[in-house]
Amino acid sequence: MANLSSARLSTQTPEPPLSDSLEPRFKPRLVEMGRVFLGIGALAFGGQGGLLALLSRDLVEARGWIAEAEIAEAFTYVQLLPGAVVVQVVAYLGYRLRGWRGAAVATSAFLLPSVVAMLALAAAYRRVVTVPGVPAALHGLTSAVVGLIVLAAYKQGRKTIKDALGVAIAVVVCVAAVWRHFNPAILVVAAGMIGVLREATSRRQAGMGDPGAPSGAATP
Amino acid sequence: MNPLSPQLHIGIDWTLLGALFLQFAVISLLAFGGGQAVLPLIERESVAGRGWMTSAEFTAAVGFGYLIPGPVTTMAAFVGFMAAGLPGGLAATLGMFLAPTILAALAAAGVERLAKSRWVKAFGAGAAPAVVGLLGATLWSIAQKAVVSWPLAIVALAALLLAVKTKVQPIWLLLVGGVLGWAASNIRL
Repeated sequence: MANLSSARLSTQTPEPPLSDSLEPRFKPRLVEMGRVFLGIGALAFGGQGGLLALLSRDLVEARGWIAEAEIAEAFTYVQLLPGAVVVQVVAYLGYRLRGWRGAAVATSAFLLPSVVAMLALAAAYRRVVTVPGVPAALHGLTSAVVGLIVLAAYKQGRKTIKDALGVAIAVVVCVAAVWRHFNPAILVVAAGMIGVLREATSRRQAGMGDPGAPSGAATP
Repeated sequence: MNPLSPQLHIGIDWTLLGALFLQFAVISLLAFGGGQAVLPLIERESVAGRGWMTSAEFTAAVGFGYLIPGPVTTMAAFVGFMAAGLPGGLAATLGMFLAPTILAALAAAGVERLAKSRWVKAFGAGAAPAVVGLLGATLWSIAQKAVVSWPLAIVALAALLLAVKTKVQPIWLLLVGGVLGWAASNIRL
């Protein structure tokens, strides 16, 4: 009887978990992974949307290393954690492919092209910035960035500000950072603690529906 | 600020490298809502806080961050390089990406509880609007340094409209913006 039920359990387990299907999967070699993620890193323009397109082309369609659903899953989980989303999606998928070494290889290879480019720009900057016309071109470039950040802030606001408290936090933080030069780190942590406090109080309020709640409400 | 800085390349300043690594590691862990959320933090710490770079250099680095592939936070490499050359760039990059990579791998390893934890979620939900506010602050700071003439204000506005209305890749907006900025400085009206 016990054997039968355990056998049934074991036949059931492989099918439902889409995400836990780690075992019967083709494992690419680390060198091959490094090469693919290097290419993705060199072409990953345009933020999360651009990365999504590249991942689904290079990992799903061309190689079948992962399923499309895993990419969506990676974006979902990583969104909740602190850090640059595109890098974390790559780390997540790298881990799914080859464990910790896979995460390390995928992330390093993905970052290599942009970090090298950034270091080269930094090395050239102080010499090049004295060339006539360069500061003006940089002003033009950063002015276009201003336009892009307006859009980013709007999108981020639409996604994350869900109530009056959210609006209040955003406004107070903006004013505090611009006008009073408050430390942004402290502002972010303080706002996070407000979120935690709200969660804690909403839990207690949910508990107030119980008969025992009134005695708790009457503070001694 | 450091009178000995010209002698920096004689030996590696491990204290400075450690400071760069730690600073960016802390910043990376506050990046709820993605990389660009921490631009104001980077500005605060690396310009006014530590004097690693000037505010004009910060603005240019943000521009480069959007221009090249990958996340805008690769500008950590720029800051690190300005502070301590190549080793500095590598230390800052490692600091910026190590902890988020480990967190993402942990999530992939099945520690979804970490990401799904009610308290992490609640913290993120509170911090995310703050991040929007900080983006506003970044905007203010960058706009003051970048949009220094009315043609540049038009460039900023046009970039916004094109990004909203069309599917043109941001890199083209930035490159055209650069050319227009250069052109505008050569035309005196």
